[in-house]
Amino acid sequence: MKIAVCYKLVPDEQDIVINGDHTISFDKAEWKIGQYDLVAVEAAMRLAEVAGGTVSALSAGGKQLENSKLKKNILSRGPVDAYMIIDETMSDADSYQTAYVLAKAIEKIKDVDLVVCGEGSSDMYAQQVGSQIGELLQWPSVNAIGTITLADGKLIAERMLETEVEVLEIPIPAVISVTSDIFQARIANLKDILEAGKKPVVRWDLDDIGGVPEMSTNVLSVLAPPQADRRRVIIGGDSGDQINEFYEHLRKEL
Amino acid sequence: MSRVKDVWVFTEKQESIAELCAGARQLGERVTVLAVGSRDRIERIIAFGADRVFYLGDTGADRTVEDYAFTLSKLIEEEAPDLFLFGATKRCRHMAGRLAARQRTSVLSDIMEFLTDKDEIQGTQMVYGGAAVRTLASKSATVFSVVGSGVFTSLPEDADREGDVRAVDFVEPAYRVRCMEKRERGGTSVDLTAAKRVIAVGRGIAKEEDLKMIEELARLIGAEIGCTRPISEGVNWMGRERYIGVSGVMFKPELYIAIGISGQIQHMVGCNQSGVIFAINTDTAAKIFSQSDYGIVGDLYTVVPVLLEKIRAAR
Amino acid sequence: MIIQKTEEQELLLENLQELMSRVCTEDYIRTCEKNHEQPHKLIEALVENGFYMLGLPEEYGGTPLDHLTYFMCVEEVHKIMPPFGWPRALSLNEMLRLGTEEQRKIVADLVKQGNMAFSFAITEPQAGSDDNAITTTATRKNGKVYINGQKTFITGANISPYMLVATKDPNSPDPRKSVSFWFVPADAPGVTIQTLPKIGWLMLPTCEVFLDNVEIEEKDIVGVEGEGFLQLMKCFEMERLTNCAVALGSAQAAFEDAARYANQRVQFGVPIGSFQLIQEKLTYMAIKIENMRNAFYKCAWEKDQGISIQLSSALAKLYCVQSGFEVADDAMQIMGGIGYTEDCRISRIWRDVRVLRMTDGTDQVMIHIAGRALLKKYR
Ligand SMILES: Cc1cc2nc3c(=O)[nH]c(=O)nc-3n(C[C@H](O)[C@H](O)[C@H](O)COP(=O)(O)OP(=O)(O)OC[C@H]3O[C@@H](n4cnc5c(N)ncnc54)[C@H](O)[C@@H]3O)c2cc1C
Ligand SMILES: Cc1cc2nc3c(=O)[nH]c(=O)nc-3n(C[C@H](O)[C@H](O)[C@H](O)COP(=O)(O)OP(=O)(O)OC[C@H]3O[C@@H](n4cnc5c(N)ncnc54)[C@H](O)[C@@H]3O)c2cc1C
Repeated sequence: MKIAVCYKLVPDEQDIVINGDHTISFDKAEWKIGQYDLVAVEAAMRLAEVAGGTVSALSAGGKQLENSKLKKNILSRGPVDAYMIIDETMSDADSYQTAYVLAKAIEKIKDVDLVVCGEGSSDMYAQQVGSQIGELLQWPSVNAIGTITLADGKLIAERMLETEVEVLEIPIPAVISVTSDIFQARIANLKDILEAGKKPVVRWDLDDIGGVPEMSTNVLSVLAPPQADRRRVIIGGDSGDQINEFYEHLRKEL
Repeated sequence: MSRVKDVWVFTEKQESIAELCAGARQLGERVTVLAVGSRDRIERIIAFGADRVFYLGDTGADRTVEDYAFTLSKLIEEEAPDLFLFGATKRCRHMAGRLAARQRTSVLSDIMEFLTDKDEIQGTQMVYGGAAVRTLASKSATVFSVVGSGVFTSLPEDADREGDVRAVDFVEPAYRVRCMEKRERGGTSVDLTAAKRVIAVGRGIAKEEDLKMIEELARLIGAEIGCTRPISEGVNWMGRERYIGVSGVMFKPELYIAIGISGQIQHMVGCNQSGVIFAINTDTAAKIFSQSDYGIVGDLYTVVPVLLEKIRAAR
Repeated sequence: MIIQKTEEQELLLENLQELMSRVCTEDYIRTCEKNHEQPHKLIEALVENGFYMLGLPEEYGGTPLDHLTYFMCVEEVHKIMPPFGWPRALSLNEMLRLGTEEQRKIVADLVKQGNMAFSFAITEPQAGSDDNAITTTATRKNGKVYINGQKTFITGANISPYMLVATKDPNSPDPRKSVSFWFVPADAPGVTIQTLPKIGWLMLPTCEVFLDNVEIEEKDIVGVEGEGFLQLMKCFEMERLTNCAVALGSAQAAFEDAARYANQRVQFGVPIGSFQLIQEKLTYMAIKIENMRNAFYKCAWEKDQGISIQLSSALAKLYCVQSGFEVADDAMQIMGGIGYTEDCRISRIWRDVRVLRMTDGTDQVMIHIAGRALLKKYR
């Protein structure tokens, strides 16, 4: 089975700087692989390990994708190779554009049986790309997959909905989005890391996959939310008197 | 004024139909609910505020909600609604994404507020784990949106309301996923957004059985219990409907008590509009303290039992 | 020498950090300490993810790597953990180099499963810094070898299946060629082990070992008879660097806690960090940490280049363990009373770093080694 797993590079939200005018800046941000995407990679790897097959990593984005440490990082998680569609327009792409480009790339890679996506990207978290790729490829797609196995050439998966679990039979080729706790992302060891540097990386630009549609949304603003003013009365310890002081504040609110 | 005429609503949960109908009425002129399931529901859907119901039919052994994507897609092509609202469930999200892709557009996800007084539909959403609020305008003919939970308040049910009902023909899906079995998932369907007082616990709770002490406290002060994501998705000590934050419940209770919670932004955006916030945490440097009204740097295993005693004594 | 970490080193350390943060919560550390037990969950995770066997040859299931990267990993682990029985790779390497095929296999199999395969039994009640004063003997009778004597301060003797016991031949004409090492099963008849309660290193027992007519075989000799210390010289250098790594990781953790606290703690209406006396402490702490890192990385790098570190490892050890303790001590001072409570990890770091000035050669012994070597250079 040939699996493609999609991942997105995102700025580390710890490094976001809020400017005086409430706009936010990522100038100082380190980029990382979205944490849910690492889980998706793990799910893809586990499936390939038991069902046989290979995993390719796939991403569309801006110049951060060129970062060689991030390339090694994704490849140290197990995929045999990586495909990247690099163009500055992709760093602000909306979900449809992203899904469109990834779907084209999947067609170009050829013979992909399964596309695995994470629950959502850890920056926008719209949780849409997997569902949209499926539709663009005209393949069945499902989200919220919490367990997955392969039997007789079909995927058997459990879908974790809010109040029920569905056991699904998914014909391949297909696109699935996995839950954030389907697996814990693996820890790469030294061998994985050293091998990662030797794995092939295929780089395409938008022309190679036939361009990208216009954005379907306009971003009007991205602003830090106003902070509620809090009293911040902090009691420095938990002696009897101090708990009492805390309780007195609480009592007034009950 | 708004150019929004036709607003469509699709959701699987009864409670959110009422909310979305109320929202749809607020945003547009005519409210159409796309209903799957038992026909008996239709009357109530109209009572909740729908002007029209497109009845798709019922699911069964050989037909899932997902299979209606093609039927819905065809309807969209034919009727071109201005705005299509979806509930904030996994199923709805997936449906919204698929339908939007078929119309070559994106979905406005988890919208907290809509602006329709411009000549376009705008929405705001949390991004970067709650560190920022983004305002977007959609450029597409039909705007697809997943509505954040609790954004709209349901209108009182009006049994006298009248509405059109149209049965829609099923379009055989070109590809589908077969559902072999369904089972209930543990967890009650508590609605935290309705609670006035909430006690939330985080990874500071060492063992599942220690939740008893928290339950007791909640009982005494009449509060609901919520948690951080790791408590629900990591160790599964509580259902998902109880975790608070950007990817969970967002609400504004009057009183919020955070116990053993570090105060990461992804969690805090769910509760930082609360009336008053209390925090118990052993770590002086925990982020929660700068976002609280009252905090105690202390061990919850010391503080909570004393609070229990005092509250009991005060009764 | 390149100061910047390579991408591979950064990735390795980030993965290790992730592993540590998944397993080693402050709560977990406290529980292990309270129960005086090794952190088995962590050890399992290190084994499972290929870190436990770092630095060991591939044929034994390990992953060889350069000394510098290896010690960076040791440092990373000890930013969070007190000593708990890992790493031992370098002393293991010596064992694998010197041991017989059978001994190597035993050791490698044990280590692969996360065990501390053997303890190092050199010190005796009358032979501490002066390790030549050991009196434990190995005598031959009827084709067997009998070990008699007492060892003390033996780290992990009660949790390791084997002991590497140093014995001395009192009749040897050349005292430099009188010490031998034996591979002794810790459960052999005649071995009695008692733990010594101590104020720190609570996850790692330190023991007294009594050896009464412990019968072993000729084949249990490790390496060449009489060449004991000479054979293990390199291993001692490596142990010094391990001490540096532990001191540095711990100091870094203490420094970070103290610096954060200085920003938070308000006294006389302002954060204590605004007092220059506190800033002075933080500044010197930062300088010491920087120097520790430089001295220690350089030493590890020299080792990779094949440069002798006989002198530099003594200098680095002395500097790192002293400065590490000074940093921990100042960190505690910045924390005030809280720093001395068990709630605050600085109190743990403080007591655990302190003993590095004793282990694997005291400060004075490092000076003894370095002093002579320095003088010799200018003779
Ligand atoms: C895209 C994205 C979305 C996310 N969405 C959410 C979300 O919706 N909701 C959410 O909650 N998280 C979310 N997270 C995770 C979030 O970043 C944090 O990891 C999480 O909120 C931390 O949970 P916590 O406070 O329980 O745990 P921790 O951060 O580990 O904090 C535990 C706290 O307990 C304290 N403590 C420990 N022992 C005691 C004791 N005995 N007494 C008192 N205090 C003690 C500690 O000092 C610490 O501050 C999301 C993350 C991402 C990347
Ligand atoms: C936690 C811990 C773990 C240990 N683990 C092991 C182990 O696994 N295996 C093992 O064999 N040993 C182990 N040891 C023993 C350790 O190596 C010795 O404690 C160390 O070598 C010092 O010996 P001593 O304690 O007998 O002190 P002494 O040698 O008696 O020294 C007492 C003081 O005199 C000073 N001194 C001694 N000689 C001189 C000199 N020539 N010039 C100036 N000052 C001098 C010392 O520096 C020290 O300050 C361990 C010790 C501890 C505390």
